[in-house]
Amino acid sequence: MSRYLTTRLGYSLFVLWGALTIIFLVIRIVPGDPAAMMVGPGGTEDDVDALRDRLGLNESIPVQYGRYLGDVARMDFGDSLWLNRPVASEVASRVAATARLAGAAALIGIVISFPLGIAAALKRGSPLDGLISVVSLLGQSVPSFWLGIMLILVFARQLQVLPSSGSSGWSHLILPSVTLAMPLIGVLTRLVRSGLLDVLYEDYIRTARAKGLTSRSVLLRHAMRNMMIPVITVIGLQLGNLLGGAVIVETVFGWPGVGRMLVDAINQRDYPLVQVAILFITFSFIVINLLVDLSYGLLDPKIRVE
Amino acid sequence: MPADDARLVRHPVAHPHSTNAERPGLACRCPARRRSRFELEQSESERRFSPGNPSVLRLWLRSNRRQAAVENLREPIALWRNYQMDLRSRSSQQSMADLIHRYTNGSVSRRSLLQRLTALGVAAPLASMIAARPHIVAGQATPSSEASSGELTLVLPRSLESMDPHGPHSVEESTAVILSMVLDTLVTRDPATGELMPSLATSWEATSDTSWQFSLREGVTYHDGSAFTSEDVKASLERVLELEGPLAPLWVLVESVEAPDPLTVVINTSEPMGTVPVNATLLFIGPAAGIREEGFWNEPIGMGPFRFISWVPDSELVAEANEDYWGGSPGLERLVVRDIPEPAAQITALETGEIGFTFNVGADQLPALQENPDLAIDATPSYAYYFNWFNGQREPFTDARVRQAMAHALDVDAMVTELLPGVGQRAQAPIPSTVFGFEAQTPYEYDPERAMELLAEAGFPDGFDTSVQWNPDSGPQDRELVQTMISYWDAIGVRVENLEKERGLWLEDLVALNWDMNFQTNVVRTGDADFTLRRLYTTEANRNGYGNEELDELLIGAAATSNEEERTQLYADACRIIWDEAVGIFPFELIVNYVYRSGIEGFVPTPSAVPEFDTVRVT
Amino acid sequence: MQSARSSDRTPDHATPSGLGASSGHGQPNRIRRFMNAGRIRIFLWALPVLLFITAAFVGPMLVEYNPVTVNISARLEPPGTALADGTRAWLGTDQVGQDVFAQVLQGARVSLLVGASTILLAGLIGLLTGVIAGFHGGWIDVVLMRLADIQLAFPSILLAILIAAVLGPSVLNVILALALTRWVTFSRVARAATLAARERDYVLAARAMGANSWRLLIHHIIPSTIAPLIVIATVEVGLVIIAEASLSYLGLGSPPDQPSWGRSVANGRDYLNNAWWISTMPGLALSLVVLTIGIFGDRLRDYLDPRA
Repeated sequence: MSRYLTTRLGYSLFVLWGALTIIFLVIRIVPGDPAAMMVGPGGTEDDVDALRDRLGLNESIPVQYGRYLGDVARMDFGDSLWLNRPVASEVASRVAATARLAGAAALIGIVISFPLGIAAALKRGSPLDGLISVVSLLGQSVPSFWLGIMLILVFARQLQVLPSSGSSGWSHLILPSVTLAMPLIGVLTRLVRSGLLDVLYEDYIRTARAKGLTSRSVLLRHAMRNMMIPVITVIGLQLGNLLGGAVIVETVFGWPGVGRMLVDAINQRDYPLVQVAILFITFSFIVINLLVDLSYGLLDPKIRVE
Repeated sequence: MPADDARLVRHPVAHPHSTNAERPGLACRCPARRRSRFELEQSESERRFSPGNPSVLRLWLRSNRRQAAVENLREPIALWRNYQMDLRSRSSQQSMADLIHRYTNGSVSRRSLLQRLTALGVAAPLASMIAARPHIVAGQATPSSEASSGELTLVLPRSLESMDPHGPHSVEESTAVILSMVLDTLVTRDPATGELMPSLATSWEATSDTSWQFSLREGVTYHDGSAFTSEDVKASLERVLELEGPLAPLWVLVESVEAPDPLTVVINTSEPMGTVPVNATLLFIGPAAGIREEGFWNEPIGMGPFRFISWVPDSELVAEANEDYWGGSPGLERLVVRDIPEPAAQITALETGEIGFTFNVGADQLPALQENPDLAIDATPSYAYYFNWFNGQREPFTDARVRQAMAHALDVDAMVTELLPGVGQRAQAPIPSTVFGFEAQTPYEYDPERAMELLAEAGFPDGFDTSVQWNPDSGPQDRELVQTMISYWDAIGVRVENLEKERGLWLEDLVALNWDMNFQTNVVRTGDADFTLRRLYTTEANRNGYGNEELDELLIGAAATSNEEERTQLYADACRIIWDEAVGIFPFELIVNYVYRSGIEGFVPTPSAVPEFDTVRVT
Repeated sequence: MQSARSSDRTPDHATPSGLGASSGHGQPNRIRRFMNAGRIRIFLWALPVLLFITAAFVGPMLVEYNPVTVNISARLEPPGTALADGTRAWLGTDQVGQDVFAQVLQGARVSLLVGASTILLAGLIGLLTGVIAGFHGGWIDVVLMRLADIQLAFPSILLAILIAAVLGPSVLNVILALALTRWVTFSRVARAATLAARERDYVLAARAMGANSWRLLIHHIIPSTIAPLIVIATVEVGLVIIAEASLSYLGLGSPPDQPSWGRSVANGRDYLNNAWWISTMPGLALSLVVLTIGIFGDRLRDYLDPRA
């Protein structure tokens, strides 16, 4: 178990380093001059030079890279070009909002998918199953920005039941988190359904039933436990999509989180801020996946025994 | 449709036929598996037709656990229902109280009262009794709940970016609104008449050709108790000059500022400057010690009618009444400025009562608001106008005929009718009709043929390619206006690229003269033509690449004197030159609207589009 | 249950649940067997997809759309309104009077173009890297797979946003950005198929007979990767179309004069109160297209089951 732990940790660190490097490269290794790209079309020579000095783009790539890694280690990312405030504090002030949104969406997703998936699996082939399959397919086909706008149209405008933007109070959280949760519901429902089906008809499950254990305990203990591994893996991956989707949902609803700040920063060509926002989201994703991997250890007996 | 899960490399259930690429949960298709699936299908159909074999789920549902689960749900459901009813009754109580108050004030007629009471569910005999003796119910009905008494929540059409009155954002409308709550200026304009009135300065006079003296008000204190002195005025004006922001050109003639005693300020200019008092209406004063501190303007301490409490950017700004305000305690206790980025969301918030006040609502949203009985709309022609500059240093706009052709290509009346009904009207000069110095000019008729003739004369019979820059926070229907203008220009052969830029970037390019055409709004904040014409159209200012010596003389002359008649004549000539030379196209002047919920009183609309709240009360 | 354990059951098709799979005991009903074969199902679901492709190709040619010309006297007209020049705005007009239906057709073209190109490009990159990694093994394999892992550390839309933001809005840049984020799935599948194929008997036999690597690759290995890649492609197409629309919604995708569906939805954002159709119609088209592609892909996958 501890060997597994160290392996996964090492892997995560490696992946984190790789992600840092990719972010660094994408911005620096742009056809043309990165400082000119950051200043945008129509910048004067002076602007470009000033920016180059300020961001230290005059030095060679390896030196920049070294400094970049040092900055990351010290969590000191300099000032945002657009807001003239330290980048790190900007991101930090938005984190809580995004965490609330993603957390609520994950909760809604899991809470809705499991019963739906279980019901679909148990009533396989029935109209209920068909309906749930359609719903899950819709969840994956409908783009979240459009779904968000439609929900605003129906609930905030026509019915005037819920507010459409802002972030204080739980009623502001409903529409954005439901929108964000939909793709997750789509995927998870299907997964729970097929995972349960697969496991439910495994030989050893049928043996247990043949032995006379009641249907309820079969369902709860044997089937669910074994289905959890793939489900948790996918939840972990989908949480990453959740973080990515949060960028769009926050923009649609004006939610003051890291995602919306990222989009604003891109529009303002504030690349230090863009860099750190993406870094932060990626880092969260890696941590989440690490936790998912670790939870394998708890669930998968083969690993625990090792 | 399984989603993006390419990382999965293990088949979760150990199986002899598993390979790396399988996704878990998807049955691997080996024959052994298949068989059991198929068997399942058969047994499934058997099961369906044999009643003695209930499904697993049914069994579970029948079990005892389910009963308990349902019982557990009952209580929360009941609580939820009570909560909803509670909310509804509280809001209907509140609207009844509102109604009664308005009836006693006389703003609601008896007939209307009866109608609305019935709509609220009050029986007819009771309603007529209430109408006869409203004081019976008025005492019982609870007035607006504690949270909202004396509190006004408003939203600014554009987000607030900075509260620094001397820096790059100093002429932003949102900045001005907040500053007028928290700070004061030396001189202000009466909102109703437009006349200059004393504010922090009780009187002023030109002691010589090049020197103005202001006598300051006694006993004014900042929100932290410190005293307001002439040092603060000196420091503020000096800071404006230092930062070289958009306000600095107003004071370019200032040589020095003196504070001979704590209640006197002397401004010395290098040349006669008649516009000192007028420009002082925009000079917000801050404490000399604080204004240069880093971060002061994130938590400003002023001497205005409201005290700054907190600001979370992109979220909310809170200010509370300054009871010790020299002009008398404001009618409101608290002001909350909320940030709602989308115009449609702002309107919805207004309609639901989430916010109580906004302004500059777009033309598309106005009709619905006009029909809403809970909202009042004050509209007045404003100091704001739209214009499209040509960069006089870039081909082909160096030729006046090309510029005039572009002006003739636009059907301004159609654009006003279709895109700006109620929020704009056709402009007749480079400055709005509400501004001192306005003189109506001959309009450019919509005449595409004439436009193409002019282009041919200037050497562009096949048109040319150019671009227009603008930022999406300019003004009402800006995107639609740009698209429409581009369409009209396309019809005369001029292909215009649509360059929409975020405000910060647009501003940088604007100042750097890095554009072909630039479409934007402007507000003549001081109500005086000098603010726009001299600041932007002199050769020295070089804001649009156009230079004309005759114009320079007129504008500088008008700024030097404080003789009104002389200035009127000079500005009339200046307007004519700018208009006939088509330095820009000036299609529309804007009508500002202030929209607020009933129950909010005392608001005086101003053409400056900077609403002031010191006289506002919430009933 | 025991009776059906016969091995003569050769299911070369998916038996759609509930479609009378079990009611034909012993009576060879030809029609029913054909229907059971599921081919009709596939053709049925292929129709909307074909409709989409046709609309994307032909539509913009039939319905005029000029991104520059506006018609402000006909702005914000609801769907079905007859316009002054005799035409009818079936899906309404937007805030400058342009026809929403024409914009939807233009968007279909953009979506199709970006979807197909991205899948081809990503598929190609994935195929090359996967096959080389699987076939050669060793350090190349390790490097490529670690690279894939690193790439998967990013939520895919985020990497696409970053690349598109850096490159600027244009259709080509969108294709590039999306292809660079989605090649990993293709690569993994190609690698797995290569690994499996490498150990097959006929490959070992060919090796023993002295066939060189190139022959092996081209004649044996690569063909065996095609079917799984097509399976993956059917899944990815829908995701790519949604990703392109999302990027366009944020303003990072196609340029303003190319009305992609995402951009059209963003366009109508401020008009939900008085012109809901501007945002609704393009999004509806988008959802329907992705839905039908998804269902079609499902049916196709069941039909093409490689283990049959």
